[in-house]
Amino acid sequence: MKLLLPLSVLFFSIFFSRTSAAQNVPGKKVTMHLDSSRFTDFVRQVESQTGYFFYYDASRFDSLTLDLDVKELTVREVLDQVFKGSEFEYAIDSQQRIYITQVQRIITQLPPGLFDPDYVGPSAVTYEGPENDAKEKLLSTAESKLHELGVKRHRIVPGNSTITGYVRNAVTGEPVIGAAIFIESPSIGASTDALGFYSLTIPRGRQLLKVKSFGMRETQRQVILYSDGKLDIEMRESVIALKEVSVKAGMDKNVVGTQMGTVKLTIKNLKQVPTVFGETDLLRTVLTLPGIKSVGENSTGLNVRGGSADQNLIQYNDAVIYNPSHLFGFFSAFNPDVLKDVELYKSTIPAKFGGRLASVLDINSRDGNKKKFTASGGIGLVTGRLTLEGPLIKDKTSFLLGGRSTYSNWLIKTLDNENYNKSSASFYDVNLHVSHEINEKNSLFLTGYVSDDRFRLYGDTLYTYQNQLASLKWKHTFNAKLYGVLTASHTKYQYSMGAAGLPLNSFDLKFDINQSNFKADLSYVLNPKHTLDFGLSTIYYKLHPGSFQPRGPESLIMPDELEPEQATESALYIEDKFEVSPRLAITAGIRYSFYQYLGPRNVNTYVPGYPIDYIYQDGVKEYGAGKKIKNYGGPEYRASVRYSIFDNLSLKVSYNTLRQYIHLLTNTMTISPTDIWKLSDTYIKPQIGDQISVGLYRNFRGNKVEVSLEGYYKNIQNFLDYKGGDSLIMNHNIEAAVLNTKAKAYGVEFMIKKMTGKLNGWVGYTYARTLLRAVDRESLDAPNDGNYYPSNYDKPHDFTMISNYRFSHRFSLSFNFTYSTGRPYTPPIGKYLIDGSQRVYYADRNQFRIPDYYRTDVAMNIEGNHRIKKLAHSSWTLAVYNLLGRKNPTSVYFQTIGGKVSGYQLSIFGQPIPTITYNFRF
Amino acid sequence: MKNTSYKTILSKFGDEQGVTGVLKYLMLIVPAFVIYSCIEPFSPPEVNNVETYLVVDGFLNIGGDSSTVILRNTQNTNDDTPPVTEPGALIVAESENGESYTFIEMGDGVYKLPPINANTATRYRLSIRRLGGREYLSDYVQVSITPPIDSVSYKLDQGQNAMLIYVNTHDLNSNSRFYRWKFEETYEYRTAYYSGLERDFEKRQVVSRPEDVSLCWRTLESRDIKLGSTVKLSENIIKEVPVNVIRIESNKLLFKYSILVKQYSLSREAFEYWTDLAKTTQGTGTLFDPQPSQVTGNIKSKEDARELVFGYFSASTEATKRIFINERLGSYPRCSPPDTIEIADVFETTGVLLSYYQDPTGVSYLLSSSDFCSDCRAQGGTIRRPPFWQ
Repeated sequence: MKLLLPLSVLFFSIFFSRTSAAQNVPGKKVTMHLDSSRFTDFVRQVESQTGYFFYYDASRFDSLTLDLDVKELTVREVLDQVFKGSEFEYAIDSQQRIYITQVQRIITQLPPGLFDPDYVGPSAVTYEGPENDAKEKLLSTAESKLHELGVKRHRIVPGNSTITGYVRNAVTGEPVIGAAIFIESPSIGASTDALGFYSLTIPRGRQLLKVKSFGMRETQRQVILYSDGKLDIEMRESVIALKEVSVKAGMDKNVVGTQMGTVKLTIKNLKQVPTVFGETDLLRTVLTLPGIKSVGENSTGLNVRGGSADQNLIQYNDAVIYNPSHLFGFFSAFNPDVLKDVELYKSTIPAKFGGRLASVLDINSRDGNKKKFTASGGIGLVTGRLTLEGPLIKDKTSFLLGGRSTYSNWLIKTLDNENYNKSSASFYDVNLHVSHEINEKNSLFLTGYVSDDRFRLYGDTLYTYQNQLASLKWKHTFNAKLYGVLTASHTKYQYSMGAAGLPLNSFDLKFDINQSNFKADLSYVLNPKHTLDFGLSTIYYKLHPGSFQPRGPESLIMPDELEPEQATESALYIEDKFEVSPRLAITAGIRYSFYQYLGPRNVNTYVPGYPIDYIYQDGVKEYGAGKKIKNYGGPEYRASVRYSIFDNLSLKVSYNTLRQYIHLLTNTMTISPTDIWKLSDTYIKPQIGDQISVGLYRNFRGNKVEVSLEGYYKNIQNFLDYKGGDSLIMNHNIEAAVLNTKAKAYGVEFMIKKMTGKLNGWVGYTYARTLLRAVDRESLDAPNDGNYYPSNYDKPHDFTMISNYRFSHRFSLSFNFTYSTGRPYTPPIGKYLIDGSQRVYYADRNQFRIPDYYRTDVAMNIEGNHRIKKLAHSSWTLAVYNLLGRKNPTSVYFQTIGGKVSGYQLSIFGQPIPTITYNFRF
Repeated sequence: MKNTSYKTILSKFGDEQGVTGVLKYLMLIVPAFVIYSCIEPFSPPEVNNVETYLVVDGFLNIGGDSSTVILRNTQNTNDDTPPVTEPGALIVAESENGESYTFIEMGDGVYKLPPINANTATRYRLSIRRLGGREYLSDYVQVSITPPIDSVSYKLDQGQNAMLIYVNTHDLNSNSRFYRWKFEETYEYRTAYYSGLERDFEKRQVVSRPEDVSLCWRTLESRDIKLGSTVKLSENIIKEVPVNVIRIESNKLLFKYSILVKQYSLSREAFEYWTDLAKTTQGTGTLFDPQPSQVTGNIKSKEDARELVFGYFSASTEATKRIFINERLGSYPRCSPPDTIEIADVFETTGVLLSYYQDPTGVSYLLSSSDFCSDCRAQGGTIRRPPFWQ
């Protein structure tokens, strides 16, 4: 458009110049006084005082100010004075039109004698087109424009100044995260944060700012930096695919960053991995990464580097989510259409995170499209989803509303079986995300999420659970060096189980957990070598651990209710990213967390000198409302060091300690529908973990292929395991059912990753062990005589290959392979008669393993055509899950039938499962 | 008791169809699951373990009655034959100060020791030498002196529709604050019909029955592990601890009922052992089931301390008390009307014969009914009146 303007002006003038024979129409004189006025003011005054009319590109003059004091001068004299020494040229045609251009002057007349074949004489006017190079530059006027930043001065004082601003997607207005902004000489760079914000300190003067981001077209800005200034940059996507890509992380981050054990997956990566029901599944894709395991195929409980499933901080737009799955693990709770990316930290956990031992899973939704309304969705075998997004205020406020639901109920009803007809299973989730830019320094983000699962068993028992979360984030830039994010969030998770089968035994069982968070995270760029991150957070927990009530007037159930629990968890942290030299970088931080378990509550007391067992409970101690029952707290150290051995090879070492004050109590193999969360109390101590990791990272082929090798060793104190045979539901002596253990986990993870090119994907191999040992080794309850035993998810060997080959822009093929050692189990190995009754005895805990697991999946993605103008963009996904049909045992169980104990293995997906999904966007 | 109410309910989910069922059921929620999931037998070598281990069942009864120890072997979980007993073993109870008492083999794995008046101030252990020469030793255990049972009482619980049997005891001198109870219950019951006739197969005649098979007594031993402790109490007093629940619909209380409650003091270790053993259910290892617990006991092999040996050796005195309950609760057994058999067909039929019957036209028949309705022995009792029966 901008390119067309000068040209059209040119033709315009050519066309009309024929009619004007004479030039130099004597103009009126101009008199004006301007003091730091804008160029537009100058134009307006000239136009009002004379009959002249200006043609110019306003964007080139928006930063220009003028000081002018003229009296009774002609327009030409004034313009000469204004543009003297500048790169601007002007031309005046015969109809009193003034054309202002850069460098090249517009020719306002045709060569003399053009229409007179008899004319002989010099060709007075010549026109030279720009060089090819310059032509290229002109393609993007934003790139060719010289941006003047800061308070403009005649003389530039030597020294550094800071440019800040946002990098955004030119089409959607979404922030571009992890984009690299740099100048080449001297080599100084910065990258954008989670909000697309950057801050770069470079020498003043004229600079060429280059901007690169993976998946975006590289761009540059010419700037003259006078003093600290602001520059927002818009980038265009490099692919013509449908809008779905926004990839973070510098390409060489793997080698250059101090972060270890960090994996970022974008929605594009996620979409390439075939899943059982054809729908992109965040948690299942995360499970394919090295070091991450789960107990069974239907479970989305993540076991990261030997941690239990409750040791992962799963955050969705900064609000904690307690149950990240639907239908007890068959689907993950995240709608793929609203996701932007997920970042998993498993060894270096930044000091701003805390409260869980094993990992942080930071899930971010996209911002809605700020430019136009769009809708997208998908229809799969079991679920359907729809997402709407668009601007509320153009370029400032956008919304994103996504919903997903299953139609399995309808399918069940069509089954010709009475048992199934009485059953139902359904879920839905709704996401709302609103982002609003108040001004350059303030942005607000609001997220709401609700999920609901209902599941009825043969018309008798109804299980339901709900997640509700809301977060409000305010991002404020104080100045070029300091910015902060304030976040307030609230999370509620609840489940209930209602049985109405027999009126006499009908009951309702309920549990809920509420968490209110407030946190402030600040980042201060002390100087180019030091960046400080600091902040504080506080959480208030309120749990209702269980209520068991009769249902209906006939029920004979004795009502029972466990007392609510409440606690606060607060933390302060500071972390310094210190770039010692280009080769050596250190990140060191400390987080101090402090926990208070609060009344009102009655705490069980036990006979001194006896074990904590319900048989020794001798009473309760009463605590009033708000009274401190127990305090815990302590420092958590976070440190990591990177040393670049060569340009593309680095060695990293990291050490961290973490504390966890809330625990998921589960004495079953997987997370079961009735597991409860429990706060640390007088008896259940916080879990403390420390981990040391060492890794080697190397990138090949211009950062296209990343290879990493990481080893870790981890200790966990006060890890919870459970005494045999105790129930955790409605247990008034829950502290007596748990077993304090010490855990050690170690392993090696190897990964080759290639995320670009026609062939992309990753291959990972993990060797990992997780062993537990009772703290009180002499106790009768100590499993395996107090010796180390494998945890439920100890699967030493694990190999995963995720690959995708793009044949064309419209057709790609994915192939995945997974192998892992079978998980341990404890089989009954015999029975005996004692005291008149039969007892079954079991092998030592977790000494045997179920058969190994392996599975192959293929998927094919077919995109619709890429015409820009059409009603809807669509794509089809055809996939076959478990192509070889191996019957991988998900569960092994034993049943006593007629006095005989028989073993069975259950394979949930024991056959190839073909699926087809239709996705659309319009 | 509140505890039991919801635990029973929840166990419904844990065991029968429930949380195990959830997983199986989840596969059914969508037709796809129905098609793709499958259940197959799973019997890895570790489950078909043929190795057997020694099980020691019994205790040393100090003072009063004889002691019994039964030696058996463990079985494969799939084995439904009676357990193999251990013959030819030498079992000796040894005290720390050198006394020793040798058990006498009674056959069928049973070893008995006649009543002894042993020293209660010393500690005892059990030494076992199996036929093949393998030797086993228990830990030394303190003798627990059991206080007498003060009373056994009973109370009708309308809500549960059951009779609850309570035990009361106190021991103000002893240090032992842990108790275990066992009981033997005996009840009198009658059949709906009286059988006065039986078949004489040799003579192929119907003859009158010499004994009354409508009145029986059945004795059952306690199967649950009943434990109690007074550690939480300021005084060592057991007051109204329920030891048995008799459901009214069981009809055990319809005629006369008697219960012999046996009380034993326990050491703390023994108490914890029995508590843990009580938790081992026949529940299994599905994804949603609790971790099984592994309980062995205080007996170890001399050669290999890691060899599994099951059982807990303890030494204690025994206190017993018997009561009778004559509340006549329940309903008289009802049966469908007797069949009539033609006298000529009597040896072609199997029903229990009751009496002759003459219809109004004067034709004679035999009346017969099922075992259950007319021969009380079919329900497991004996027609011999127990010697203690009042």
